[in-house]
Amino acid sequence: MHSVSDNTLIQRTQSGNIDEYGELINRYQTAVFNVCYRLLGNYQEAEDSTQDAFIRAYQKLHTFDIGRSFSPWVRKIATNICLNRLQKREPEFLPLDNEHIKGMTTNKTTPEEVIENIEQVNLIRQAILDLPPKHRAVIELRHYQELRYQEISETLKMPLSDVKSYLFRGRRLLAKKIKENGYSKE
Amino acid sequence: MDTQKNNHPKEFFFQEYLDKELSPSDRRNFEKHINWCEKCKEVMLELQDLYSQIEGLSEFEAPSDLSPVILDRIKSVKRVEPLLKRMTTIQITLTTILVVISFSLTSFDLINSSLSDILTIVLAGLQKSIWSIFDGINSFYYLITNIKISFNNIDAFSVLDAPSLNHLLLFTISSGLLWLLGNKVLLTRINQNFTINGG
Repeated sequence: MHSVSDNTLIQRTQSGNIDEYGELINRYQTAVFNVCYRLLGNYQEAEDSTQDAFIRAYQKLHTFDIGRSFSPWVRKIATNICLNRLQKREPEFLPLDNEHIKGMTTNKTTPEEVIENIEQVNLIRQAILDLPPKHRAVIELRHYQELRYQEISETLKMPLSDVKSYLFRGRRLLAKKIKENGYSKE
Repeated sequence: MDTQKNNHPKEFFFQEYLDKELSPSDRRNFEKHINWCEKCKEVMLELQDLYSQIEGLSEFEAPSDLSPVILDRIKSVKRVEPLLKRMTTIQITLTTILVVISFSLTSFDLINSSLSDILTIVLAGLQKSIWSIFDGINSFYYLITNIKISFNNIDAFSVLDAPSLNHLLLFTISSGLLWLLGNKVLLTRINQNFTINGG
């Protein structure tokens, strides 16, 4: 638990103390970076989008409702930034090295199990990246940011029926892809 | 939702159930159906498996130097914004002064001659009106007639010849267009470096 709350940091930032915003960035940069990497699949693009997301959040900080949580808000911003980027140009998928992965190993996993885990994870990651941008964005917001359908609709500014359609079709495509590539839990 | 035998729920029902988006009554009916229907139970398990595969992606560490880089970019934008506002104000002021001076220089003669002509005509009209006031019946007729004659004779309007007016209009429009173009190019170049789309 942090000694200074997010709301205090936000209020101090709004008062003109920009350096307090640095602490907010430190707290949520991993979450935001992972949103961007899941959507873009490219380290450099994800890093650029993460920077853009925090800058955009800073520019809109005066509109932020202190009663809400900062992390979901900035992650939604990141999702929209990545979606805009995807609609302009699809970045090249560059899988990250094992050393960048958090928590892939425990005391009980063998090296072979670690490698297998990484292969399976990359398979699913690639399957998600093969989805069209809007399907990908909806999957991200539902499964990783745990937004309700209505919240997804508001975030992406699309009708509720479209949200459901993209979500259901996206899952169907993922299931097919994973099955084709022979992923198995056993 | 119909939960009679052989009426299996549609595919989206399974997903909405797992997404916790079903209404309470639909949720109860769906659970009732799943409890006895093996086929639907199997579909549900497959879907749950898919969900856990999707959500099982591991997280990556973010680059370590993000915070100082982002703060530097924010501070750069904050330095430029007041400068942009000042530049816009200066541009508007300079252009306005330029247009006013140009207008004044090109139309000084026009205004000058118009004013003196109008003043002459008004004084002449007043003079005649005052003299005709002693003739009670014709004074009003003379006032109207004099004003009408005066307007027909105003030389000032002849100063508004087509070439002078065209030059003036052309200069004003050109200045305005140049200002708009310069402003747009300058602001676009600066904003490209500092404005983020999205969010």
